[in-house]
Amino acid sequence: MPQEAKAARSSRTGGNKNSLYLLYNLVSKEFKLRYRRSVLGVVWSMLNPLLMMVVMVLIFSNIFRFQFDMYPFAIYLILGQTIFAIFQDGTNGALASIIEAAPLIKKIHVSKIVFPTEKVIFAIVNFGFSLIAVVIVLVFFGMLPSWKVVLVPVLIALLAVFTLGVAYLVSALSVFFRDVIHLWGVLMTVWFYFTPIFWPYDALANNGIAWVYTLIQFNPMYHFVSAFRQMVTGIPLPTDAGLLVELGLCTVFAVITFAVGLFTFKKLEKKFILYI
Amino acid sequence: MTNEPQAMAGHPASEPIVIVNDVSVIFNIANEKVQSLKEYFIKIARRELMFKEFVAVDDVSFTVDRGDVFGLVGTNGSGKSTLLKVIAGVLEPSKGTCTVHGTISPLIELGAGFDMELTARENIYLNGALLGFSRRFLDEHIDEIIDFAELHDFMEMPLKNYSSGMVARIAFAIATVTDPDLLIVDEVLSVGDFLFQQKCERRIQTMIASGTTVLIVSHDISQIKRLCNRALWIEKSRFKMIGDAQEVCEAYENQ
Repeated sequence: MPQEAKAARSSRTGGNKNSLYLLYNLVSKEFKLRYRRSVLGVVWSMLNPLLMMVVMVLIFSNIFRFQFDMYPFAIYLILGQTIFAIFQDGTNGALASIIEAAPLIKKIHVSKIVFPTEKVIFAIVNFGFSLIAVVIVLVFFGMLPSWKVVLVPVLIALLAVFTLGVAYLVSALSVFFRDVIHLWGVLMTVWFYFTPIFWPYDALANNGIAWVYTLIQFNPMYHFVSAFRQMVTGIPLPTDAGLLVELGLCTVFAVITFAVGLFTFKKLEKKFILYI
Repeated sequence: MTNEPQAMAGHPASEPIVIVNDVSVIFNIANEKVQSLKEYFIKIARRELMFKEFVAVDDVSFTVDRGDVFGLVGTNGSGKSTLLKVIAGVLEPSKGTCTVHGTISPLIELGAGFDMELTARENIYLNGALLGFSRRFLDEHIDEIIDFAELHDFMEMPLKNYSSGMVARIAFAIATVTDPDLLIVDEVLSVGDFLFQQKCERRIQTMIASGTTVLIVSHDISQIKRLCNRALWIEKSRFKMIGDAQEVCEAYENQ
């Protein structure tokens, strides 16, 4: 299509400033719909991870008796869980976001990338609320966060970029192959178990399954999770690399994934309308 | 494109706002039905992927001038809506080009941009944002939109409790709150009671008077005759006739 037409249209429907306003509207819609008619409303965003943590603490430290003595196991759990939720909720939400927006995409010239982006932003806002749960747990165990906690926004920004990359990729692919939606559910479960969220990472090395131990070094989420724990508690585990190394690795993972995701999305988005 | 400076100099009547140039839209039907990986590989193995083509619009060219009220007629499945999608910038033509000078406001199909769980007011903001309006613009014009839709008492009610006519009122009110260069109307006017239909037509007339070009698709031939000055008839994906709305409509009715 000629440049002129594109320019004229973008002034109407895709202008940067108004795209932001559209994102804001979509996120606020999501919140309204999720908590409409529930008594506790947005408190659930905070209560959910807290209750999950209580269940996991009961199961893993009392029944399976995991050995973990660096700091309270509950703190280890909730930190891993809340940051992993950004990735999990963001990509799960984005997965069918294009297909769900089909009635709109078929009718209006609207920038398609806002739909997966909105889901990732929603996951991050939700993470903000679940931080209240983290604070409650820290207060309960009388633990003060380390000064390194100031680096958390940097980490979350990197995780957002990483999650966006994956979100663009899966949302674009699921338009063409609905299998991706089913496959992603399984993949997400595998990914969750292969990230040290409820089990201590060094347990693997001591159990003699060294190849899994090595494999997990290549799991980007491992680095995000362990960097987050280090930043909040200030206590590195024996297996942890230094914080700067972790941040460096996270940056590399985030940039590469984002580039691949965005490229795939842009490449495929013109054909979306034929498949939705 | 080259006409634009001339138009500035004072020939608004002959300035084309939509230029459709040799546009063809071809759907790959075999490809379209493949929605799982298994099917995909089976089809690749059988070499079925490339062959079944369906030409929805076949080499159509026309221009719409600024200030025109342009009607599109044709029987069901003749390619009217596909053509409209190309003009709205939603669908890329397989061949040819489509150029639009200026802003477009599409009248969205009933409920397409709406979320039935949200209230009418929330939907106005959401839909306005989808159409590319800024927050300030919507804050300034919200009363105007509500006034036009005449639904003051129902603004805080979820849209799922609305009748389809009431939804259409809101959709129309939002889409026509600005004076876009090009307004696309796709069968929307057939909903709503006759009073509101008349009101919509009056609103379109005022927009026309203020320089908006209107593109209408309708099966209501009398409506095309009443509103339009020019019309295009496409039949079985192909260009059939273009010209004065009265003449095209008569030819279409007497085919």
